[in-house]
Amino acid sequence: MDKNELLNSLKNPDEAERIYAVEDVIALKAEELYPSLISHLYNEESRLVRELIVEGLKVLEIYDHFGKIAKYFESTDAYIRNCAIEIFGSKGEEAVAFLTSIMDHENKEVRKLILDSLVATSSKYSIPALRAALKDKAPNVMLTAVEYLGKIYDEESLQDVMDIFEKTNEPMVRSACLETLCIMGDVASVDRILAILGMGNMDSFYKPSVIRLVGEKGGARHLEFLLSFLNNKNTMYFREISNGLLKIVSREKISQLDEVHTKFMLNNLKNLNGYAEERLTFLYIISKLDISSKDSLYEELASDENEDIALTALEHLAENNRDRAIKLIEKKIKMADDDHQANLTALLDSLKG
Amino acid sequence: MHISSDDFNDLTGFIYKKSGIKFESKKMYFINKRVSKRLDEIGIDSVRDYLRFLKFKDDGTEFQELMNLMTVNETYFFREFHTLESFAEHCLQEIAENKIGNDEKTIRIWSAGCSTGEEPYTLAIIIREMLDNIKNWKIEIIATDIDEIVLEKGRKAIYDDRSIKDVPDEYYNKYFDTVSGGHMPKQMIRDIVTFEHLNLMDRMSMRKKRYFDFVFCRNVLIYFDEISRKQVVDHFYISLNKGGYIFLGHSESVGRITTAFQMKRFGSNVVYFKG
Repeated sequence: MDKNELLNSLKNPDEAERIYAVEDVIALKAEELYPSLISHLYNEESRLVRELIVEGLKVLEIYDHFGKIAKYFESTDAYIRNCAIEIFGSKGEEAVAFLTSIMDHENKEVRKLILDSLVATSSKYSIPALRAALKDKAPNVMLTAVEYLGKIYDEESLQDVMDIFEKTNEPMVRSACLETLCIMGDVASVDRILAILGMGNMDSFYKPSVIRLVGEKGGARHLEFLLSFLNNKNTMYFREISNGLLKIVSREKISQLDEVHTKFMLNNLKNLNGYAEERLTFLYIISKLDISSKDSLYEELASDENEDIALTALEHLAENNRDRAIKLIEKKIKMADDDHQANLTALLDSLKG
Repeated sequence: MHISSDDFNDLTGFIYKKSGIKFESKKMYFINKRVSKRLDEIGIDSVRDYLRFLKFKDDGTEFQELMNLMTVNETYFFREFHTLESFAEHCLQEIAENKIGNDEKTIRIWSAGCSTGEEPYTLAIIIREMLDNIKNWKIEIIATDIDEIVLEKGRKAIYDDRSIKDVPDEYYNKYFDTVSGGHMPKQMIRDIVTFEHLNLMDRMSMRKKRYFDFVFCRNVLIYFDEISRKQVVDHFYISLNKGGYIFLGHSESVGRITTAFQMKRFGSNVVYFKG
């Protein structure tokens, strides 16, 4: 097939002819026409032709034309920029060396897209490049690197991420660091973050992320920090706080908390107007503490309007007093509606073995 | 005769290259039986020799025989009724109304992978039932398949009880005759359908298929891999007129193969068309 004929067909007003032209370039592996194919994506209006070009570029050997594909990153059309990521991603390791070689591009948006492409290759050889991007001047590039290194659990970057958090004032970069630390941080990371941000006057922008971090990675010594938020001034964060507390109490096998906060949790647990999810979390926390008359608390909660709370209370009661729990369940089965009856019966069966 | 995994890979690789149809390793038993039978018939001792013959000496005839053996042809009249319902009650009406508005009188349908012909004849029956003033219309149903044996059965048009099990009684009485050997669609149905040989992966042949209002390719693309499937569906897109509809099998999704088609909903059924 004639090269000029194919080139003309690529510009044919008939969509079908353009589709055939792209197909033929791909099928014939007409390498001399790859540049034209790559350029054509910018001007092509037909979705199908565009799709075909991208799918073709993914299977063809286009290593010598990576530079032209990289130009897609500079397009104002988001679709074309994403095509570049998809094409480079499909090349795997083959693309890593090239992408790494252009990482010093002057445009920070392009540098960010290069990182997206490196990750899309799924190649472990991208990791050094991601680490190097932690030192990028542009916040958007830096935080992209922080996020990706967290997602792939690159523990070697932990210290660098901590250093970035300490040195930067950019809230979005700091947020990205906190999220990454939630994945791969440790108790020492929590200490350092709390020291940097200050426990008392923490900027409320960071509160939810820090509370989450403390819950995920904190130790017994960080309980005080979480408990300091457990009051009626921070009800917006109750979910994070209660989940964080539960994680630390479970992880560190805590059996005692101070009276004030224990009472606070009990009151919130018994508050029928409270959010069920938070109440349930408080119930789980209370179940791990040494508190007198827990059984009567469970019995009281076994009649809760919220079925999850009621069933969980019965489960916990059964751990301490199986016979009492069974009697109570049997009584409730007689009065329950169909759905609740089914759940109670399943619980009863599991207790009776 | 036992096919080694090397032979299996080489043979299926050759078939894939020529037809787009992919046979996975779990099909080894199936292929072993069928290929062994063929080798016995033509007196070739090994798969290696057979492959050599296919590659270098065959003019296409033997490959056709092989494809006839390898492709499964399970089908019956009015299969996957909910798809046919969308076609009959919505899509066909819409296309017909548009054509009347444009003073056009031809409706063209392509049944791709038609097997023994139950689908194209079913479509013919539906059209005769649903279109008003059928005499004013020129209806063309092109039924294609890679397997010459099934195409011949389609042309002969004699079907057993199993094939007509889902035909409503009133349609049977109206559109079928009981003949020696089984059941035959009446002449007025058979006249609408033309059977042709076509390999869906033959780019040049596929390009000749144009100006259809409907393409049906149900439970055929499941044999293809992702790349081949896309190539075929892309050709279906080209083959359709603007506004034309494509129907795949109930377990196949047009949207997962290409974003070129647009979607419409009729009740709980989703249909795809060329926008």
